[in-house]
Amino acid sequence: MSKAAQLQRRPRQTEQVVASELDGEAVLLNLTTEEYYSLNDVGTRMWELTDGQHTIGDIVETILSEYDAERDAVTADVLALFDELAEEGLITWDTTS
Amino acid sequence: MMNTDQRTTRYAVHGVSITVSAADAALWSAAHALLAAFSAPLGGASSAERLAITLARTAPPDSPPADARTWMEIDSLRLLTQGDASYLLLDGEYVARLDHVQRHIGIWVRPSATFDSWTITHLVLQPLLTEALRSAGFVALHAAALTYDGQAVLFPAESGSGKTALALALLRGGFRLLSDDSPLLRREQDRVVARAFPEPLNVTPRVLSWFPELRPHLAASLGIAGIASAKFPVASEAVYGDCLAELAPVRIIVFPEPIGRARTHIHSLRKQEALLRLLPLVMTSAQPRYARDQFQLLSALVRGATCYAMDTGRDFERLPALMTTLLRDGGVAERRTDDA
Repeated sequence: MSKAAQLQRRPRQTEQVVASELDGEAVLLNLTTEEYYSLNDVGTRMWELTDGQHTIGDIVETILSEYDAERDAVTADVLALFDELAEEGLITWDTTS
Repeated sequence: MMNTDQRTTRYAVHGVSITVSAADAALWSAAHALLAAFSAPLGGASSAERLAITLARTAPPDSPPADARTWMEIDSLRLLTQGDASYLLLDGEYVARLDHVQRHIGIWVRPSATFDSWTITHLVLQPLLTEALRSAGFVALHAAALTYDGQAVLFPAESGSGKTALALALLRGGFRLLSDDSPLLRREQDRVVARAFPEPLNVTPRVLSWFPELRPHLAASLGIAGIASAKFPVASEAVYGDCLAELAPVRIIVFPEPIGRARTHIHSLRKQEALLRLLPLVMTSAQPRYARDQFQLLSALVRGATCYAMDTGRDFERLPALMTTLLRDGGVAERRTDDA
């Protein structure tokens, strides 16, 4: 998949995940597998934007505006996180355009 | 032929009315060992929630459905579920069933079975009771829970982490006991309260050496000294008088590390870290809706309390003052010591 196409995808939280945000840091629980995960403050901000409305590109732009970091590094981090969340069954890709 | 050994007893567990029917005295004792403290009503007169527990000396009348899925497996214990029922197997043998809709736990101990009373109480009845109480909003947490001035402190930890010694140190200091092993948590009026689930304290010889006031109160029949793995049951009220509490909102959570140093060291804990430490200390549920409720309850618990980690020292006499300070201040306290 091209980088452009990756940036256009919209991640959405799955039905089987429940999340708790505590002082800006999240814990996610996959109800189906009973595995749980922690996100730091930046990852938690990315999770907040995972609503099927924001594209990966939108999320990258938001993080860039809120944190002092370079575009390439943020893009790589965002793509890596969402690949992992998808692999763990915590997000799906919204296919509506 | 009428079974003249059949015994039926009623208990009230924080508003849940539980009726136990046992085929004989031995089976009754196994159930009573868990529920004894609830013979006198606790938690008010409401009995909208009911649960029936039957213990029989026969083979089960059914078998778990072939398509039941495993939702928990620990050592010899396996729990299957299908629909609204959970099926418990011990060493591969089907021995108990919880039906959420019928509000019934059935336990079948074949005459040829070799499990002891402790096994029936703690490996069969307790997990199914924990699951059954979820419909009343309860979550059982592996923790010691004590109160002071109507506020609860929780010490979440696995068995063998020194929870009993912590409880005894605080009882000495005027705290009241909710449970030394598994308080029942519930959301009530926008806060999380811990409710009592008292059982006799199980005291090792090492703990006995630290708390010699227990010695005169050990059951006379258990005088086996020198066996490191033996535990002696002690009723806390016998030693400390009127020292039991019924419920209290949780104000602080302190995660104890096993005793390994001279002086206790307490430091604050991020709430995310506290929640991550709590998750392994609760039982999973067969029902996704209860798993969700449990997670949200634990989140609310952490949100509403100040969280700490504690390297527990042998300075038990300092513990009550340390805890009352945390309860009073409710704030972050970094206590560094130079002792190793």
